[in-house]
Amino acid sequence: MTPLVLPGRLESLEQVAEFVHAAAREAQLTDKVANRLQLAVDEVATNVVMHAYQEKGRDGELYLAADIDAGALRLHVEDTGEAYDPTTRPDPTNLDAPLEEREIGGLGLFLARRSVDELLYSRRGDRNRMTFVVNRPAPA
Amino acid sequence: MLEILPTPAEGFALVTLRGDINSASAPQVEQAITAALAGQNPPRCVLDLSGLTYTSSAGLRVFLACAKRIKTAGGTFVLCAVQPAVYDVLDVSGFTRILTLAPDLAAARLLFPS
Repeated sequence: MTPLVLPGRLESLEQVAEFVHAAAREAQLTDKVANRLQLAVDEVATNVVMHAYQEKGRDGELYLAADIDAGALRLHVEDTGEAYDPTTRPDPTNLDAPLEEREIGGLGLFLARRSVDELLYSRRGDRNRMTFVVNRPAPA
Repeated sequence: MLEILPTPAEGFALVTLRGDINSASAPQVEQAITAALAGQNPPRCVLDLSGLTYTSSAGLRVFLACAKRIKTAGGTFVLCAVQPAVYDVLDVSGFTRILTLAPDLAAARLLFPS
């Protein structure tokens, strides 16, 4: 897959989704698995745009790349925000609360984590890298 | 791509959503629901999700905010015809237990006896 660089803005999310689905097609993932990967990447890319860039008043890009081998698709999203490892955040604990007590928000990373086989963080130079690992089905 | 169709209905506001909800398009959904509810007391709203194929947590956030606001005002908020990919996200987030879901629009209508 040819890597893709997009402006770090919410308007880029549709192109992020297109990149994800192109990678998923190349890796021959099912539609269901591809949609879950889209959700995971969408949530993380949204957090980058909103928290690493917009809230800090910074401009930046989203750097997308994908590696496919026999066992898995690994999709990488990099940003130039401050070092931040979202995988250390605990899951929400109020999923069974009644409507009145549910807080608005806080679900994005929880959904991202459960939608892929592995979600990995690394810091590479001045970039944060999130890697989404989806196992490929064994050949028939 | 998200398409929002405010649809005429009797006795409640009906908003039909088609396509995808992400954080870029979610604010339009909230605006459409708010506009559809203008002048209704108590607020009664049905979202027809038969054509909604995807939502991120940004859509859940809008559904939850609207459900809370409408409940506080003594009204009714119903999601109908939720498709499997969207249902999965609602369910794992605990939303299928706190929101009112109807299998289709005909079933949603029954929740608003005239």
